[in-house]
Amino acid sequence: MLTDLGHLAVIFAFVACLYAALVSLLGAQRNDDRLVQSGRLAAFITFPLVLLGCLGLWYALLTHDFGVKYVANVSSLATPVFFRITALWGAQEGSILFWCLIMSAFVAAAMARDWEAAGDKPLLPYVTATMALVLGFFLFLELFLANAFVRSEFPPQDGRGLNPLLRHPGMIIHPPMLYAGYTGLLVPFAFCIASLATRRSDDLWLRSSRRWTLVGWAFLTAGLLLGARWAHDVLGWGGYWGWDPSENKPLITWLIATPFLHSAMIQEKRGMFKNWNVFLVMLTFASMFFGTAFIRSGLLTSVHAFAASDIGPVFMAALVIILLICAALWISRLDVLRSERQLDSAFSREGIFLVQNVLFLSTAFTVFIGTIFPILSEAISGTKITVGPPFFDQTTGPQLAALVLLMGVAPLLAWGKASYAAVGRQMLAPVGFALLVMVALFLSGARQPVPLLLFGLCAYTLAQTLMEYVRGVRARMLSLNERLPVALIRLAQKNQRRYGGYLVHLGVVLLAIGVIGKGFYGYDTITTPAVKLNDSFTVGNYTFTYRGIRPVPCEFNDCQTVQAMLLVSSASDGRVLDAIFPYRDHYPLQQHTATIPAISGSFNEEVYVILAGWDNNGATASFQVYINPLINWIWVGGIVMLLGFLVSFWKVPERAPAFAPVMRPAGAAAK
Amino acid sequence: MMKSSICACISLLLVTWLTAGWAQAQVPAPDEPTYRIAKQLNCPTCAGRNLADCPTETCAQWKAEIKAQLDAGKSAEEVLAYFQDRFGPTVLQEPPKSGITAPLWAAPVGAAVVFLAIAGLVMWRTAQRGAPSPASDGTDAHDPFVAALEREVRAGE
Repeated sequence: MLTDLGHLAVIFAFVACLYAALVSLLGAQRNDDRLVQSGRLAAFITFPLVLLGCLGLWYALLTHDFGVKYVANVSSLATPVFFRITALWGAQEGSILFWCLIMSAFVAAAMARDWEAAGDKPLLPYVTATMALVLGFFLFLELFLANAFVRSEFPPQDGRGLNPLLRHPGMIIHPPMLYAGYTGLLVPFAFCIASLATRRSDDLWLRSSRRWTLVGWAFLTAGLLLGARWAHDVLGWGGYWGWDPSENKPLITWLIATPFLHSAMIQEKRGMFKNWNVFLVMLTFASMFFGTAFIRSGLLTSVHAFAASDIGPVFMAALVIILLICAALWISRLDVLRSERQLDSAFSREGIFLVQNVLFLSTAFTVFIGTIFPILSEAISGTKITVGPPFFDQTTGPQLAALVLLMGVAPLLAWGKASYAAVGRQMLAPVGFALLVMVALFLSGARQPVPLLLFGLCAYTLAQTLMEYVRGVRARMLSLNERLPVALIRLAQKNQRRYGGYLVHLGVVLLAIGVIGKGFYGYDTITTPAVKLNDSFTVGNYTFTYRGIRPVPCEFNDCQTVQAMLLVSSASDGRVLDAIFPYRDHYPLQQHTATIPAISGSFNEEVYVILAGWDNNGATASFQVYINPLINWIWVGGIVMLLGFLVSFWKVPERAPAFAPVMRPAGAAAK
Repeated sequence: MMKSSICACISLLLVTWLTAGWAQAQVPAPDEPTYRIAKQLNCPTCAGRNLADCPTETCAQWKAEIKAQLDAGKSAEEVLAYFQDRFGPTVLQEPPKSGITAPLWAAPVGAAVVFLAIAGLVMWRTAQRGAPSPASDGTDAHDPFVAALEREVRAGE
């Protein structure tokens, strides 16, 4: 009953979307504010309506209503409550509904803002119409092509249970994060379309939507990191990133949204690159839409699965329509999007931002071509060529390294025109530091030239970014007599966007250190012949002693778990460091085996062990051992990136004394 | 200015030194040749994973095949060539840089070159055109306090 009510609410939400779009456009045409407000309200109520729909499905999941096909598909009597709740996004139908919920939350938030105070009311009807149409499209998919509320005539006694791979905290938070990242990017897109529709030449849309882009970007970042962590903890191949299409798709969007966050600054500060920014926002949205279509339509598996799926052609038709509308709007408004200024010099902040933008886009293109090549090759030649990690590593690596370098140079360059001498002077200390780091690493045994150079690059950018803080803090300490912590906090408070951004840069560098460490110094091996009970084997700095296997109770009683025990000791002095328990889960119902690694070692060197197999009840067993140096820096870097986002996003109210120095004449502050 | 930058460098160096221990004396265990070759092949059953990392039955048969060929005296290249002949280039983790996969490798390089060339052209053309805009002193004009700070810092250098 409640479930059917939820179904009805989703139908109403779909109708509300259509109404909102129609009435808003009509209101804009007739200049009738009552119609516009009515459309705004209709768009707003989609959120409570879709929420009601989700509650209905949750009710069915919690009460084991296996009459609902979706419930029988993703849960069973043995599925614990927590996973019955997260099963809402455990398969296609439910996850589209959940996607609609998050998207409608962004729609409601945009509708609820104070448009009068923000001063961008003329944009309202078009923002409403754009958002309502996009949300309406996804509700259409949910209702007509992938309905989670469909009932079966003969309800089964028990369901199939949640996909075992999805039972990890990372996998539970990861989809909501990615969805929030994707759907959050709808807001800047809607503002951009509204600005073009109203033929505005100012950057009102940009200012209004910049913070929303940042929110979308942060969720996307968090989603990517959680996905990487999940892959590392659950999939059992020792890595964190496999260049799988479902990973590449959010990465491509991230690689387009990130340059936009930078080039938006050029428009705000210099009034340039207007048409470029419009292009980037449209591309970001299109990449999000294409990626979603790609994953959801079966195109991922093969061209034939795509043709056979109901959703695929609808998605592609919608994508073509969106691209055509975008292109038409963009081209017809090129005259109003002219730059207010010329580029004075390539050696300037805006010049280097342009190079950065281009590099980001070519990296995104690289990932894109590698991701769709299997499908292209299948369509053209009939054979589906697999593109493995070596291609992506070799092609994106140099481009990403160049971006790390730009991150260390761009902050030094002034807007307009920078002076070579000044920039060179400021580079001296960080370059010196980078050389010291490289010498230190060389002396401690790192002899390969490429990683050595890359570590030097990271050290340079790290030092340069820190210097930005050092300079600002030092100036405050000297001129305002503030103590170090106060000066640091006030500095960040005075310009949260800038110093939050630098914190994100620091995070990226730390992450890069982890990627380089794992990529160049990581290695793995398998024990052959299999290890006998109580025998030892050595990998790198570690000796492992096999102490047998045993069956253990499975977490949710729907699998058979076999656990091995290994003692880890130091290869040099024999000291016992740890006892580890890699295990295998076998799920008879889903015919699936999961190899769950055991992780040991230190912060800087992770030891990752997988139980590869065993014979004669554990008389012998074999193990796959991965040594992952510096991999933990990736997670730390990710956390720093998100902290940086918080610093730049969170509006900290300034207290009165903080204003005082601004009143001072500039000359008085100088010593 | 110099003093604080030296301090910052030294403290960072210490951190690097402390974390540099991992680079010391790493001797990988003797590589199992079958495993090495399996790492370079795609698994027929685990989508997107290499043969060595996939635990399925089919993969075990493939690994046995590799081992049998190695035991028969074939070199690693010969084993890889055998798999490529039998299953086509799609069996390799790293697509060959020739043949049908050549465009795949060319595309990213081409894109980077073309994109950068366009950006260079745009910069060159706009730099040629029109009078220069009012010179900027390299500060964030929107924040007088930061502007004052930066001028001061530059004066101090």
